[in-house]
Amino acid sequence: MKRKARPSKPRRSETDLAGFEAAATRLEERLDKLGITEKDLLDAAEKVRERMLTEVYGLEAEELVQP
Amino acid sequence: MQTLFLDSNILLEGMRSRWGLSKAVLSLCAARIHQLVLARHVISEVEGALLVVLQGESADEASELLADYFTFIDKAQPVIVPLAAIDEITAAARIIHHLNDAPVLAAAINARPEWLLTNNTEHFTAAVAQRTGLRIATPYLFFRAIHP
Repeated sequence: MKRKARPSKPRRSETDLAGFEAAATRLEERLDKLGITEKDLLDAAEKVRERMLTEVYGLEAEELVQP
Repeated sequence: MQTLFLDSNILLEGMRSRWGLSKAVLSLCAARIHQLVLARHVISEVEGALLVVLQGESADEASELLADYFTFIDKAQPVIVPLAAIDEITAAARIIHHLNDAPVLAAAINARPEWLLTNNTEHFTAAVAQRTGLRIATPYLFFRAIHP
C-alpha cells in the first residue's frame, strides 16, 4: 500500500522570509497611513547623518578635514 | 552566501517600497540567502529619520512605528557592526571627501563585507572602493554582478 505523501514542512529560511515580509508589510502600511514618503525619509536621514557626527561622535566637520 | 553591508538609503528604500531591488536585497537576507550587515550607525540614522518625520504625530503612533521598524530590522537578521572609533572615522574621512559619510565608511571598513550597497555612488566612489578594498555597488549593479 502506498503511503500518502505528507505536506513538507516549510524550511526555516522560508519561515524567516514570511516573518520578514509580514513585518515589512506592517511597517509599510503604517508609513502609508501617516503619509510618510521615501523622499521624506531620505531627506530626514541626510540631516540626521550630519547631526550624528557631532551628537554621537562629538566631532565637528572641520576636525575631519585633511590638513 | 555573501555579506552585504547596506547604507541607510538602501535600508530606507527597501523599507518604504513594496517591490524593487533594495527590498529584494533585504528579502534575500531574511531568507538567509545572503547575510545582511548593518552598522549601528545606519540603524540609528534611520531611527533618527523616523523620529524627524514623526514630529507632530501622537506618542503612541510614534512608538508603534518605531517598534515596527525594530521588528523589521530584527526579521532581516543582520549582523550588527558597532559604532566606529573616532580615530577610525578620522582615517575614513581621509578617504571619502564627504565627511558625514565617514562613520559609515569606517564601519564598513571594520566589517569587511563582500559588498557595500549604496545608491550614493557620488560619495562612495570607485576611488573610495579602490582605496579601501571594498566592493561598492548599487543594488542593480550587485544583481548584475551575481547574475551575469
